[in-house]
Amino acid sequence: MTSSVGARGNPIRRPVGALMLGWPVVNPSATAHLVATSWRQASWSGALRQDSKCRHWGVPRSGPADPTQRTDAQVRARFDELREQWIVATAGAASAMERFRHPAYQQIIGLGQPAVPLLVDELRSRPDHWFWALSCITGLDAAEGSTTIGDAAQRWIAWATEVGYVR
Amino acid sequence: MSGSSQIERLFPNLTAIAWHATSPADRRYNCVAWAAEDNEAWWEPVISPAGRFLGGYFWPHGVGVQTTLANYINLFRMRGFEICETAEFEAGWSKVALFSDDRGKPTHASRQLRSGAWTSKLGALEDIEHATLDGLVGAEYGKVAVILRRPA
Repeated sequence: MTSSVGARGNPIRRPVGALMLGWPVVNPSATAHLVATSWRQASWSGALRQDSKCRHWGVPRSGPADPTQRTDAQVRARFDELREQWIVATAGAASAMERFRHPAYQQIIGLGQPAVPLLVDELRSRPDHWFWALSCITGLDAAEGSTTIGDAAQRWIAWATEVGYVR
Repeated sequence: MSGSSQIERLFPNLTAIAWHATSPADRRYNCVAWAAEDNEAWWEPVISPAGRFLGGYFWPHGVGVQTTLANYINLFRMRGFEICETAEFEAGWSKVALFSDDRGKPTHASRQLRSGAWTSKLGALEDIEHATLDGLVGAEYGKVAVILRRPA
């Protein structure tokens, strides 16, 4: 086990090698399986896999559905569709991690950088659990140390404004 | 979408007991926070892709970060609770119920009110008051795994 320090100085213990293994991303074929059966029963090491091509915390940056090939309007439409799927499907879920595991949320992460201003706009209008997605896409935690969703949302908005993602 | 129809669709056993919503839907806190009488933070050990606590979530210092029933029991033990035998109301005691799925993973927490009824925050949905714990047993939250109590 290794240790680090998190919010409010809490020590974190995690298994050695957790980072080396990378963070799981959606295998498109596995996604179909998850939707067809139960996303809740999926394990990170099973239907969700590490993509050896990923160098950005496991988020795929290219492939058949390369988000850079989409127009802003297409990204917006796809984002809205996935967001609604995710909100409805995870409404009763008591765990944020369970929410992040949902295929629609994973596909939002897969939209990549074009999704960042959309996620920040969401935080402005109705703060929600978008911090994991933002962290996966950008490679940072703009709200590190924050312990409330409202405060974290404000810090992500401030970061996005500062770097020019949003005005 | 939110409201009683959505809640009863997710928790069909609620239709067999008395229950009602006691707050608007709110995504800023979860059931564990609500059981711990906090409606401002989402209590969960969310670890960032970089291996640190992800900003936006709260987890008490000294409690393990794995999502296990033992860690959730420990969380409430650190707040003065001890495991007890019954969910029945006992004068002079405050009670919390922890639910788990069929793999023993914690899924939900409810807090008993002085009336003997229970209060629950349902994910990102509303807080509800429900007459018994049975109303939340089912596919979404599994079953009641443990009851804890502390002096009121």
